[in-house]
Amino acid sequence: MRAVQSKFLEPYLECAWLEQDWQGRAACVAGLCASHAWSPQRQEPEICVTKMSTRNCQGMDSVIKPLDTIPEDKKVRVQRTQSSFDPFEKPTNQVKRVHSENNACINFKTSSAGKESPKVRRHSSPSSPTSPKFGKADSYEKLEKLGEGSYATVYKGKSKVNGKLVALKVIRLQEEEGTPFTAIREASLLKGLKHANIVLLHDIIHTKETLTLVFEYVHTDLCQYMDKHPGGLHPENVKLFLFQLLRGLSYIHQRYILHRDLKPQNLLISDTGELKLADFGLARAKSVPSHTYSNEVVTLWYRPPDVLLGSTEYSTCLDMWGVGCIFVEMIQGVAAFPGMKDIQDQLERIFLVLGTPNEDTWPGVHSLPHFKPERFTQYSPKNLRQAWNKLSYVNHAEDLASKLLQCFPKNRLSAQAALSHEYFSDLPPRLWELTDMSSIFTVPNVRLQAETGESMRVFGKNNSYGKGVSNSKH
Amino acid sequence: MVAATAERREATPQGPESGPGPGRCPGHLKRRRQRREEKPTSGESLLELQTFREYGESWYRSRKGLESRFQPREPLARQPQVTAEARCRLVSWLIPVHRDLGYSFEALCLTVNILDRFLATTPVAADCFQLLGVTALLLACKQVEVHPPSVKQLLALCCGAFSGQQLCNLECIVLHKLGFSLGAPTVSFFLEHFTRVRLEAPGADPGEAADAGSLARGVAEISLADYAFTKYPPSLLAVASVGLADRLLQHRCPLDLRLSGYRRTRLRDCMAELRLLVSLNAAALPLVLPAEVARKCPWLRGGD
Repeated sequence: MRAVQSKFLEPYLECAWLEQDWQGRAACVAGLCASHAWSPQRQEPEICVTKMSTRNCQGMDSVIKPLDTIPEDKKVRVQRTQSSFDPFEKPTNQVKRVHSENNACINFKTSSAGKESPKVRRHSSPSSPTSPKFGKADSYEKLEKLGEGSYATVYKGKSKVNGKLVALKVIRLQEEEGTPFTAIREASLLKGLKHANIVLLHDIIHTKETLTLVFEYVHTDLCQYMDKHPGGLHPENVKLFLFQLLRGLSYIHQRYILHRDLKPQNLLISDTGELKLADFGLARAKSVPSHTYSNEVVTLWYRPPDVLLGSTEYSTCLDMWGVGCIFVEMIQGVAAFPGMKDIQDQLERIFLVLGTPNEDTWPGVHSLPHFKPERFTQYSPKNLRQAWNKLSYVNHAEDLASKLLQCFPKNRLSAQAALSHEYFSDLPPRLWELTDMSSIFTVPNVRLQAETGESMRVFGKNNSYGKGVSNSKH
Repeated sequence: MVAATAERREATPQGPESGPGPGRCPGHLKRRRQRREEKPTSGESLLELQTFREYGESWYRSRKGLESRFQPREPLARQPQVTAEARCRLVSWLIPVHRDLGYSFEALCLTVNILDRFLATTPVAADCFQLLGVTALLLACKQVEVHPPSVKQLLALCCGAFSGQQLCNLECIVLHKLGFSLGAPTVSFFLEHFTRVRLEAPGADPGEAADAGSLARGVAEISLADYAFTKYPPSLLAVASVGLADRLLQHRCPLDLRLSGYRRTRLRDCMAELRLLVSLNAAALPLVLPAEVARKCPWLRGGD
């Protein structure tokens, strides 16, 4: 048994973050073992997860509580295929149970060797080259606050190990419901995503009160960038931003993930012009298709009409509407559909430009929960340039925007298809051959232009790369 | 076998001797009865089909590429207390629980994956095993469901044997041990994939595809409770379940199993084991099947 137990500890020791800090391991193991003092010298670790209630446990039968809450006719009892031969039968007397008075079976408190042990858990993957071994939670210096969300506060931070800037997303842990689902989804999804146009999650620090996601620091976002350069962005920059947005989206869509909350605030922009998708708190794997999603996902301005009308059948095209809105906003300098009041108002704004849908233009629209033909003014569709004149200044921009801003979701262009649109045809071909982690700015002659505010009129149809404009007003 | 059966009967968790009586256990589960039954694939919208045509292949490749990373490796081999029998009992309990709460098959698959991967890292005492089960369910639902269960609800399911703090603490520990990696590829995903692929094939029979899909789902669902199946990757389990379902239903245009890329012997072994599982569970299987599909399985009757 001893051999088995010591073998069991190997995984702990493999973790770099625990190796660094023996006390960390103590916290981890003793954290599992009630408030039982665990010292590194102890050779026989206790069983880790134990319940502290002292109810007698007579074998395994009393272990699962009866299913009184499940009606008799619904109980399922599966018979195993190998039940006559169970190689994993274990005598229970080998297990030393841990009793505690406070009934707090699994807690983080521990006192080992009279020293306050760290309550910090870390989740960086030691093997990943993008997750350098930082120290403990205090290896980040918290600088100014960058923003506050509904469930997290974001700070600028600095690694004390290598001096690099990071963004610290500090999530308060709820007493009642445990770790917020947004934090769980964001961390679990981002862990699997490695792409130049997706914000990089360096590290996760878990303490008793907070969960901190440590991201690469990106100095601004598209919302701030557009505020700083009002009146529409440089058309070449719009193209590069849109290309990167589509690249990031195509990457996640191919991996069965929807972002679901696209808006300029969630698109980070580095000083070199790299765009990174961020805030995956509402993202999710696109699993069961007929699944009901919460209706409160996408910010109203960037929410597609099918969702506004109550459709719950989301797919990758959900994100593509937002791309269309952001594209128009970058070019025109104002939000495409800045609804002021409610869903009705938001829909009116959309229909005013794209025309009020009917069964011919949008098969099935009448069966959507909130579609009441009498509630909407009948508008006829217009050319997008009538609503947003700057679209006409750039070759193929209006066509691309109109293919993204389709009310009927099925007609919306996918991210992959949008990348092949003629609008991008004057970009260097190497941009389509980049590996996931390569930035578009590694391709020669691809660089951000200085914003000029008046750029539209001057450089409207000019697509030459490397023609630096240096009369930035800002 | 006889001994095992006797043991199982004893273990059926409704005996008055096992655990607290009904008085202690108010049936105050807030049941969300409107379980979102997964629509039969044939009735799926054009939009879904179009998205599938565009992305189906890359979804499949990316999910399949993740399988080995999320595959639990002998989760019970080093568990001092938790046995395959206890695991079977726990999952057999989680099956009606997740159904009753209206959660998807996807959520159940993730629950069992979280459970197994955690068991592979950490010794768990027998009397904490159910707590681990509901913690895994909570995490899976937070990952994929719109309305995850409340901690209170889950504690009630365990008849108050655990405290909220215990559950939340264990949640942290599980997250920590699994490094927040919860997005495992599931049998549910692959079943859906193979069913869609089948519908796209020329001369597809939508009725047969839907029936095979439903029966395969039921078979895969009960296989989650059997430790013997933890050795199979979910894509193999999915394709073998569909293959078995086609055979049991004597379909004329069965799924072409070669598209899974698995070797014939591997498929045959997995299907044989599933076949045995089905024959042992003639009583349990109808409970996880839609009535109209169960009716098409005459061999299920009389198995009681």
